[in-house]
Amino acid sequence: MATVSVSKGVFSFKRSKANKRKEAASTTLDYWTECDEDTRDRSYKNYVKCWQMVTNILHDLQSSVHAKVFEDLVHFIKNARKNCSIKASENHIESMQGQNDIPTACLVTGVNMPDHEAIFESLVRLLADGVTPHIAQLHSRDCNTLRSAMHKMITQLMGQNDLVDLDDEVMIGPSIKRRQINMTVLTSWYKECTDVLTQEKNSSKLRGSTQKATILCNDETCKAVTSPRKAVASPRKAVASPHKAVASPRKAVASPRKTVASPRKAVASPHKAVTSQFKAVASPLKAMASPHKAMSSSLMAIASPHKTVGSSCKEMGSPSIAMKSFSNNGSPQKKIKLSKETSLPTEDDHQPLVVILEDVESFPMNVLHDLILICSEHHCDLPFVFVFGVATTPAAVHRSLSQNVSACIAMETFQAEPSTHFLNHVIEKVVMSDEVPFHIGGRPFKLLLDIFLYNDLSVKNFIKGLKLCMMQHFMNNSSAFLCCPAPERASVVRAMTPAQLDIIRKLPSFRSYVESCPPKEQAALLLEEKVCKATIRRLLNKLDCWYDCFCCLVKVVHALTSSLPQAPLGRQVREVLTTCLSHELVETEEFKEADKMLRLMAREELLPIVTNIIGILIEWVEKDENLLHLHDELSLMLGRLNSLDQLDQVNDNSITEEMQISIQSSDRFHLKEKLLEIAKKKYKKPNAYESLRSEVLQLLINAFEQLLKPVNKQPLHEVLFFDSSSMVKRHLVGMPRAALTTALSNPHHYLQCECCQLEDLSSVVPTLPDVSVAYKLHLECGRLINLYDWLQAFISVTEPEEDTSSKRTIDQKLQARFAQAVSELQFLGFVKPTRRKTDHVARLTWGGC
Amino acid sequence: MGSRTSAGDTIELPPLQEMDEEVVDIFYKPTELLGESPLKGSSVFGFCTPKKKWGMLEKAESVKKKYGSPSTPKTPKSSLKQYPSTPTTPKRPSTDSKSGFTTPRSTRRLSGVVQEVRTPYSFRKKVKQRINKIVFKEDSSSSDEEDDDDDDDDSSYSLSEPEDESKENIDFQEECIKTPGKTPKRTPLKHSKILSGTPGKKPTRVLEKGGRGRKIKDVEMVGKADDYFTSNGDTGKVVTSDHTLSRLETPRLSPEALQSILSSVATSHQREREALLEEHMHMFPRWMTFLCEGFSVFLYGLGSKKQLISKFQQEYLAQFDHIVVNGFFPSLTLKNLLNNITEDIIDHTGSFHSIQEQLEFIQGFYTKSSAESLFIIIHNLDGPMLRGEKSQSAIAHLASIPHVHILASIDHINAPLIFDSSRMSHYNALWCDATTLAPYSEETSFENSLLVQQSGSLALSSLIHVFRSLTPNAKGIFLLLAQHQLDQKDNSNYIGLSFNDMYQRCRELFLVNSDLTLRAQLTEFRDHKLIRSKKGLDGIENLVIPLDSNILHDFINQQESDKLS
Repeated sequence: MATVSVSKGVFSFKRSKANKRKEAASTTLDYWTECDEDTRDRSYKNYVKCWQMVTNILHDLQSSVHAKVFEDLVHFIKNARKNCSIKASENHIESMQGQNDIPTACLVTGVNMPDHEAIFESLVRLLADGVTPHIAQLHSRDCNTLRSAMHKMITQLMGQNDLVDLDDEVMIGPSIKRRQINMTVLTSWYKECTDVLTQEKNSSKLRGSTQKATILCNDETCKAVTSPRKAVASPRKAVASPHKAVASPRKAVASPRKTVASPRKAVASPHKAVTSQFKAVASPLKAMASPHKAMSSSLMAIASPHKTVGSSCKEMGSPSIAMKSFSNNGSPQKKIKLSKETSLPTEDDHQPLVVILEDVESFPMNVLHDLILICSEHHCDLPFVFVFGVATTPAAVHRSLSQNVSACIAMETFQAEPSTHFLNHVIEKVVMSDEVPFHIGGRPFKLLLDIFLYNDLSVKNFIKGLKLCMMQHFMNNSSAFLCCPAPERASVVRAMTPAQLDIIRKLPSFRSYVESCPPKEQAALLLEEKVCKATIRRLLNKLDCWYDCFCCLVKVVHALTSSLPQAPLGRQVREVLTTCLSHELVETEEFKEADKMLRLMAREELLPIVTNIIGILIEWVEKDENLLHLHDELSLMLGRLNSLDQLDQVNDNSITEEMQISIQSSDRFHLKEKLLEIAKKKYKKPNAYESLRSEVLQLLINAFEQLLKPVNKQPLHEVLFFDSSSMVKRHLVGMPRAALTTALSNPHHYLQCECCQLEDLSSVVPTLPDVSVAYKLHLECGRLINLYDWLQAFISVTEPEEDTSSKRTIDQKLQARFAQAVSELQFLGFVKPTRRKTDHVARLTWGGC
Repeated sequence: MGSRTSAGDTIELPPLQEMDEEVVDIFYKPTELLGESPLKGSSVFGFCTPKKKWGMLEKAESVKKKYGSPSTPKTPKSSLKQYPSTPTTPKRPSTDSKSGFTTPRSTRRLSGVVQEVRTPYSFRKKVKQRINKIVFKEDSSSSDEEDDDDDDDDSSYSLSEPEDESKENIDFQEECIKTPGKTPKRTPLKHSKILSGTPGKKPTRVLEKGGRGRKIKDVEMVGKADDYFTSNGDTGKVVTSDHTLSRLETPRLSPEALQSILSSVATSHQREREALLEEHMHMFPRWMTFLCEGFSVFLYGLGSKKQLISKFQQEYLAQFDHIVVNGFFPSLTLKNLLNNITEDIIDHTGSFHSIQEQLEFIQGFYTKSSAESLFIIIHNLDGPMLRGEKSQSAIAHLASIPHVHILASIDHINAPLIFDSSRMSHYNALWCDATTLAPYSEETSFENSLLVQQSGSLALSSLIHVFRSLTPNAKGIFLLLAQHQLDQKDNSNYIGLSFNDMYQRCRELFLVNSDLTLRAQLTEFRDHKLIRSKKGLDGIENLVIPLDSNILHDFINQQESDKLS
């Protein structure tokens, strides 16, 4: 078991086959140490059930929350190709340029990086279901070089097809496969794929393409030859049967373009025109550096060895030439149009190749450039569609791409829902749900929200926190065995052992409940098992109902106060929920503030709010009597609010009368008194709307007062609610540095010894651990520390009796201890050796830490 | 309309207040995350230590005074704890302090250190400030507020500082490191804050502890980064004494000696440390639960956690496949780690093209539901070879695989900087405070400590080795250069012996006959890295031996003794 070595850093321990455990460790039950076995089992089962429920809910949410943007995306991907061709038929010149543009969806996902994985996962699932089987997902971490990026992309695109995958596995090992992978293979594979898929009747064409594919696959050494051969072959074919050339213009277009890759060589020796496709792929930038030159020269390369190439082919060969020859030649326009129309139906059957780049911003720039350029080169053969995951803004993509690259992509932006939106759903469906028996209390909920809002905005982390809370609840709380789904509760309560019953009886909230009961019942509750069990069941059910009602009212409070200026209770349901969970709402300052403002609210504002509240309540009326009552009363008042106009008029008149009376008074003192009196009267006599408004508010406040009590006032709340934040905070929010500095400056905090109690943090006592003494001394220094002085100071602290300054020799033990302390500080990162001065170290922290 | 305004009157909202409210929007405050008042100071990042020239020695001395033998009774208390009992005007104490505090360095040891400098300026300044403060407090009769508000203190001193400084010698200007008023009251305040940082937290689980009074509380930390600029803003030169370790008989211990001495030294607080360890061991089942539930566990805190983790490994992981990685090992590579998984654990024979491919293979292996768990223990996830971007993302990737569980320890103060948010979510880590206060003996054994003999001894031995193989003339040339360099060791502007000088001297001693032979010799020295040549400002080549003067001195002494014998 020794893991100390000067020559090895990694040690592996394989489990010996002999002591095979009974089961693969999927259960953590063995490590739950609390309570007796039965209770533990039950708690664990409850935990597993609860977590399963939550994961199911989350899973559903995950796909539904982004449904809108996904729908748009899928639509875009489906139509990307079509749009391209439609555009092509509308405007031919543009179409020739437009062919290079790869349709690109820019999915703006927000800065909550941890959540993105899940988003893309569900996107891929969605695409694989309905749109295309050819999907490649690229991460920046896999794509440090173009080679690896291409390899990754092509294998993923091809790997989706089982047939090809199987063949590859059988025929050639992964190493050969790896070398072989390039765009040509992909092209031919894709052709084969679509040919098989569309069941094209043109058998000769099929044969041709498959033939080519086999050449490519088998004859890897002659790869250099295959591509030029192909380049030669297709124009010939085009000339031999012009009809065919028109029917498959893409092929004709493809061949000269492929030679674009190495144009100079092509000019020099046409036979080596495409020496190796891979090489060409590896350096597309070079080739693209002078695209015009490349285009024309490539055309020459084809034109010179094979004079038979027709002019029509030439025009289709490269768009730039086509444009140039547009004015000169009369016929090409018609021909292109013809070709487009004939090829359209087949294109519809082509499934797009979707390449998803999850984190575009962190891709190496040159890799991204080359990838896009290569794909755009082959775009006419392979219907690529890019999906860029962008965390910041689409502008970031434009900024990072150079002009010639961004010219190759036609970008459209899609905005994913912000993570707060997702969070709201999670809170609505998980935290405020009545399905999951486990509920989270005010303080931990606030903590999780704080972490969400102030650290990373990541729902994934929020859920992690929620899981931790749930684990802590079921692990540490012995009463959690009762926290099961409501339908099972009856049987669980019935099966409770006396020991378990005792656990429940010991709960503070249950004890206070018992104390509030009449004495007779008290005795029964404490002594009779049956009565107690029945009460527990009743209380738990009541607690469930209460929480439902509570959540409903939280929404009511939110509807009531969220539109107020400055929203004292917060604009989100979650903020209201936090407040309500831990405090009595009516007592809070925030609510009083809100109440003040509500009492000034105009009718036009109040009406929609009340309607809104009734809308919320109506979903819950069947479940709770209190809410039903509230709903009915509110509906009545709404009716009265709607028919208020005439009464208002009357009140106005009376006020003007009073005003007139007051003006008649001549004495200043009297006038003042009168005015005060009027003011009082006015206060006493609000108009009909005002009285109605205060009636409505009073009704609501009464309901809040009655039902929105904080969780810890409910009996048996310990069973269902988790309400301790410190445990969770300790694990979620690590404070490594604070722990280090505390241990160094006040070791007593950890050691709890008699000797090291410090009256003040900066003081030093000799009994402190060496590293702590050295640390405290080093705090007194500037950026450089003289080792000799440090050593002397260290000695005078640790051994005050000794006197060594005059001597040249010092105790070796002390020196060794000091050396150890300093190297520990160096290891921790407080100091580092420096060459600025002999025997000095540099301090790496500043201030008092 | 009238009725509405009247209702407004009844609720008294002064117009001024309303205006304020419009400006101040109500924020959602992270009270649970940061505590009730987010900006409460703490000693962790606070700028509470004024940089004084002799601060360290003062501190040491004060301790000595407190705990030391009463051998220095005649020492007038060196001013630190004493203030003038009567409040005086701000002018007088400053003059008093100048003349009065000549800082009698009582202890004999320190007298050697401090004799060059009499009362350090910063020290006097501090005393002055203290007196000022007392006066100021009397004047401003609002002592309570001052204690609470550090900024007030600072401002009051910055007011009084300039006028004092103008009267000071110009010499002191260069070392004007700003000293914020360090009041003795401030620190206890913080102390209490730290200790009572977690008022509402009670341990949910009571453990039986071996003689431990109470459960360790959580530590709180809130930082102030601005202080960095305060302390590094004025780039005055750093003032430290010129002492070197060569004043000692044995400036550096050899690694072996160090180890043997340390093993003989009894560590302090043995009992408490064991109790601490015991307490952490009670957390083992919890760690195991976390690991099995798909979290990673990160252990932090002062002290080597290797022993603790090894205990955990022995008790809980014996039945599982697991690997142990010593992150502090200087020649650890990511490839090592991955190869250990693929070759030793998975028993895969075959090579991989890239780390990515290997990772994917591992991922493929462990995502199968039938796969058995693999535990990876990493001592020092922040070790020098694991800090890099690549290895971190690879390990994070490993951690995100379902059946792979990672338990890691971190020690470096800046370690959290290597985890970004997406990496952190891959790790899915839970933090655990595992302060053991155990010495980092194994972890630091690979480190180049300044206090341990290494480069020096090596250089000397290699120097001697090369020197022995030289011809007598070449030896002479080298000794000439060495002697010259030693003669000049006190000259801080010494840039080396110029080639022409060298040639002249060598000729005089009949060591060379032409400059070509000298050049040939020098080339040989250069090849063995015995000398280094630098072009000076005037373009002349200067020759230096790149060694410490002490080592050189030793070398020459040795040569001379060899010659004699």
